[in-house]
Amino acid sequence: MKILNQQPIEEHRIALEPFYLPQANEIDLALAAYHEQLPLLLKGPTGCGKTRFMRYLAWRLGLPLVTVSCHDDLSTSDLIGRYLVRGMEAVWVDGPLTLAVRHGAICYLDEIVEARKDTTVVIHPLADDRRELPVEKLGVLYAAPPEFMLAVSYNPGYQSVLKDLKPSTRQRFVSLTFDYPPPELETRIVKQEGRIAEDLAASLVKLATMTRSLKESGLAEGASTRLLIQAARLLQHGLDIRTACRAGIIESLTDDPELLGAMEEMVQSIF
Amino acid sequence: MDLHAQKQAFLQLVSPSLPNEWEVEEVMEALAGVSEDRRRILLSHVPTIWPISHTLCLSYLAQGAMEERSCPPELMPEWVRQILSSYEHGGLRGAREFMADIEANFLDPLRGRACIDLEEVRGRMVPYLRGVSGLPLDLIADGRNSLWTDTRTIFVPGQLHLFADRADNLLFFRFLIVLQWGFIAAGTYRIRPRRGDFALVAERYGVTAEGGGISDYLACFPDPQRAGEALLLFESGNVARDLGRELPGLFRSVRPLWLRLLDRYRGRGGTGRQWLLDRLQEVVSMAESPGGRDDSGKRPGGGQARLAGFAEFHDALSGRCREEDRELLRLLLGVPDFTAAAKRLEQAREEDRELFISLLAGILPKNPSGESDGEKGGTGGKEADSITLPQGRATGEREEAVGLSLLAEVELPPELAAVKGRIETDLGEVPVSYIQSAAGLAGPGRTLAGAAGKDDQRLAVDSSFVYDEWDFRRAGYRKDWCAVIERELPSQRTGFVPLTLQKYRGLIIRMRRQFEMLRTTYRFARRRRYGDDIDFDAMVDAIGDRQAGLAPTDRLFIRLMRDQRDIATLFLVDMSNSTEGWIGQLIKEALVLLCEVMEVTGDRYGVYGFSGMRRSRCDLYHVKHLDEAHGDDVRRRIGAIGPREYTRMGPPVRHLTRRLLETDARMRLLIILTDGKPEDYDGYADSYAIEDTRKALIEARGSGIHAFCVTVDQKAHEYLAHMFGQGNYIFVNRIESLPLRMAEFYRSLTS
Ligand SMILES: Nc1ncnc2c1ncn2[C@@H]1O[C@H](COP(=O)(O)OP(=O)(O)OP(=O)(O)O)[C@@H](O)[C@H]1O
Ligand SMILES: [Mg+2]
Repeated sequence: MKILNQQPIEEHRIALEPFYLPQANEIDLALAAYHEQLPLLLKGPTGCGKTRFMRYLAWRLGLPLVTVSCHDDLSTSDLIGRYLVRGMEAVWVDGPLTLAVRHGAICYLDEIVEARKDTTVVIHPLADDRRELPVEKLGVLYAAPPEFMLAVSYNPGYQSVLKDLKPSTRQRFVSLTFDYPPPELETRIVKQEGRIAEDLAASLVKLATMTRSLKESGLAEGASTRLLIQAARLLQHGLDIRTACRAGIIESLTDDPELLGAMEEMVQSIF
Repeated sequence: MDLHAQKQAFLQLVSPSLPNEWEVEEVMEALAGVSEDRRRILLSHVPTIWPISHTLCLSYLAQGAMEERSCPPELMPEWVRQILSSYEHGGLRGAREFMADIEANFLDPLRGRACIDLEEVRGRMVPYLRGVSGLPLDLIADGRNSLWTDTRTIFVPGQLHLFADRADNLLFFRFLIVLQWGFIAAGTYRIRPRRGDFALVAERYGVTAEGGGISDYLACFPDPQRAGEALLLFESGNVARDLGRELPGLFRSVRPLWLRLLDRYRGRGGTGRQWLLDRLQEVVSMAESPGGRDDSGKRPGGGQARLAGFAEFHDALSGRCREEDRELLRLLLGVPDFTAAAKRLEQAREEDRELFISLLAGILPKNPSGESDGEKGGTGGKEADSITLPQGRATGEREEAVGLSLLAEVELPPELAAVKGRIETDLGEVPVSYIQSAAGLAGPGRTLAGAAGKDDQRLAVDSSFVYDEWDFRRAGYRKDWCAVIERELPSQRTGFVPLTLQKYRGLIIRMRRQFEMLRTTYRFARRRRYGDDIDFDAMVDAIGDRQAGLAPTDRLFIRLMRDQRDIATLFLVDMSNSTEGWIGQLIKEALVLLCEVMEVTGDRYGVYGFSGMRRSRCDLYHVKHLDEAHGDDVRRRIGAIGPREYTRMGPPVRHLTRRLLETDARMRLLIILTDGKPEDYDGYADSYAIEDTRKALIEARGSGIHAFCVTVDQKAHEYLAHMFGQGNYIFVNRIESLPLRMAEFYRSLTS
């Protein structure tokens, strides 16, 4: 029997420094957690920089980053690995989690609440002080090297009670709370990532801030940094600002005609 | 222009045709009586009408000259358009009839179309205002049709019709509202006059102020109301500059309208009016000039001489402007009520103070002073486990210092940070007394909590269900404090339910379909022993396993399975007397709709109403028990729901929590529908009521129940996030949308 390394870990290494502006002390916290071999839980609304932060952290620590986007069809084999048949031979292929454990990489499970609860339990032994991964099929117990780090993310904003993290899962992590960055910072991010002028970026951020105060009026979530960057990108192609905001931001937030109307008026008031 | 020249100009316009001398003469005389501007506008349409009918054109001029007063210039093109179209349909006679009564045939219908009715646009105006301001402001149509604000609510005329075009009216309406917010944001209502300001007005008008606030200051002027209006005008430049920086697009598009409106008033009235118009013109032109930021306007009462020059300004305005000139000022900047604003601000300040103290007390370690190195862990509220304070050393002043540095350094829970921010904008900094009170509350809290059991006012009720109540002032429960009595609603036969079902027929069909999808969430279950299809992944795994010498699994199939929902939900409906009328009606409609669509989900649900008076009688009305079948009885009981007494929210929440715990559902939900703050007759009000309700909800969550709230409170709602917890409530702006929003809320919670 042989173990197939068809997914070399090197592919997951991040060569260039990702652009990341810290919001608060999240880098220090994450580095401390890393050195203490504690797993990370990233909470925050969509598009506020969680994924970007993980890329930055991986680069900073010089570790490969293995990312898994969770969904409700994700099985334990998808995480741990499975046998495949090659010719007349059975070969084992590591799943992303095993890959990261064996090579001492960071494994990042994005949107963990989307995975079924029976799947998420496989991370339990890795996420406490045992730091080990039993692979039953192989009959081995991998002990995670000190470099290995587990990180998961989730968005507490979605109100569905069916998608909540179990306390037994949640209480294994060091939590980093992300939110939309403060205006000056967000402006710099939008300016840099969207390649637009500073004052325009500031106006986009102003619009986003306005939409974010609509939560109680029925908007599930306000405009994320990601949407702002998206609108900024549209501008590069000569679209006018109002169109870019409409298509790039507002229409992506809701279908409710009144809220759309209100936000359209915000756009017209700002630009 | 003399008659001759005018005639020549006209003939020039219609050349080469040569109209009858005497006909032209008559019209020219009529035209001679109107203003220059008007004549120009009237004549400008001649080339359009003349070729169609000479007679029509002459009638138009004669009529148009007569209607100078009634038809505003910007409506002229539309008037001409309609004249021509009535000519097309009814000939000369039709057109003349149309022109004869400009009020009835032209202006009225136009008003109907162009006029903005607040109720029509409120649904998008309120979110707009809230988004733009970041404040939970409200918009209400003012009874006297004037524009003003008490800093929490902006009161506006129920209708606005200043321009011929609806879009222009809407834009202008929005701008007027934003200006009102501008005054709130700039702190105009929070200006604290300095001693010198008071001395100056005392000297000028011989009146000494009775207090130190802005309304006391204005009261020293000969006419406080006019002085308030003058102050708005005085401030308007700075306010507009700030707003213009925030919302350049709005200013850009409103500028022509604003100027057009001012132009209507120009040319008439004396120099005083011109002076006022020039000031008002600055409102939209100030915003244009980028200019250096004038920060003196930013900090209310921040020592800057914000009122310097106001008294002179006021006198200049009073000296120049006549009463009718002020109409325009009131229309545009509003009719301020500084006393009402002061009252509202004071109230908000008090609410913030209480909230701040109770929140801060909640995170301060409950360490009686003097006791050093007492306990290391286990202290401090649950919500605050991330905050550790230097312990011990807490004697009087030090304690304060600890509190203050805590505020500066420690990351505060978001709610506390928000109140702190509000207090700082209001007062400059958090008063030390607030922190002292919080420390006081946190210190003895524990001892009192321990003593709570000895409460001698226990309730002597044996029948019903008895619950404790949380007293935040001593951070302890009052034992067996409230009695919940379950009652039946009379099952009345009324037309209400059938009518509602009829009214929402379309919506119910649509919602039923959507709710059906909730029930039928199928998913593919992989790796089953039997099923509808081969699980290819499992197959590959199994082959691989066998090749590797492991025992292969026999779970090789995919099966389509329906997700087990297993949800039990109780709806708790506010039946207090504030729900009288419209609100109560819609709450009931919402329940009717909800029950109809809940039936399709197959989820278990119950409905209860509550209201009562005093702690000895918290009535809980049964509408539908959890597993009771939905039917005519339930519908009739919904029909019988009506406004009753007070809103003591803690006890029914505790009672239904208990009910939910008795069920074996995997997911338990409690959804409260209310229209305002909890309140009861016997002192259950404000912070006490909010804190008890909050505690009851925390208890519910602690036992695994998901508790949410839907509120239609039209007034203040800073307290909502605190009471229900961030993300655990929705606020329904437009009460008419309650039935729909309520059902959608349930859907989003459980999908
Ligand atoms: N602090 C930051 N520094 C640099 N870029 C940022 C920062 N925050 C957000 N961004 C930008 O915002 C975009 C969206 O962020 P990201 O994809 O990390 O969001 P996310 O939190 O992972 O969202 P989701 O939960 O939807 O996956 C990034 O592509 C990046 O351009
Ligand atoms: Mg992401």
